[in-house]
Amino acid sequence: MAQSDWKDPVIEAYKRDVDLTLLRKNLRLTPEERILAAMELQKLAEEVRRAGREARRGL
Amino acid sequence: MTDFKALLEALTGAGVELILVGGLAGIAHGSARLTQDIDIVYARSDENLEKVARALAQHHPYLRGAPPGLPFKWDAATLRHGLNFTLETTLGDIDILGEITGGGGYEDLLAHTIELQLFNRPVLCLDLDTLIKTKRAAGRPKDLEAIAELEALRDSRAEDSSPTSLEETAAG
Repeated sequence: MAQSDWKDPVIEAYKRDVDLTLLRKNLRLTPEERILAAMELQKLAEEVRRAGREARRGL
Repeated sequence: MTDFKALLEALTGAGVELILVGGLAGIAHGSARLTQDIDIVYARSDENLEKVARALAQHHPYLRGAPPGLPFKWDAATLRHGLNFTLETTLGDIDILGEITGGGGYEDLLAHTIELQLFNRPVLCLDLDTLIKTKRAAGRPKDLEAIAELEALRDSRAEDSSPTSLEETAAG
């Protein structure tokens, strides 16, 4: 097999679980829109972490 | 939270010669993986070191994870004496890299970049093939899923020449 045809079986195994629907959705955006969306997601993650911390304090 | 937009604007506004690499470069290519910081490779010329130092000075860079009070002085001389810096700033976390594994420095990577229009300024970003190559070279188990996703993006681009591919949307 030519070197360029070689596929890493570990990566190929991980690839089976890649959510292609998310990638297709992202590819409809411009790179700038993708970065802004990532910032929004970061904000959401931060908010969820904060809520989790507060909930744990209340336990 | 890291303000990707403000950090990029601070750097590009100061005319810093940089290449976007790492997770945010992956996001620019279409990755759905969340990242917490910006990774850039910067040119090591004296002029650029001054620009990097000036661009971030007002955002109070400090060594990420280091105990407070260390005698860390943010200026071009510090950049010159070091190479890779993992920093926290008032705008969030940023890794300022003189070199990356499997890719080298700014001059080595320049031929493997694409130009994006981000926030009204041109920004160089590592191309997808080289991004995959550098992540493979880093050899970190945590990157395996990221590599798989980037390769899936590359595969989908090869299969689909629709106007959704990065090259055709790079102009923003």
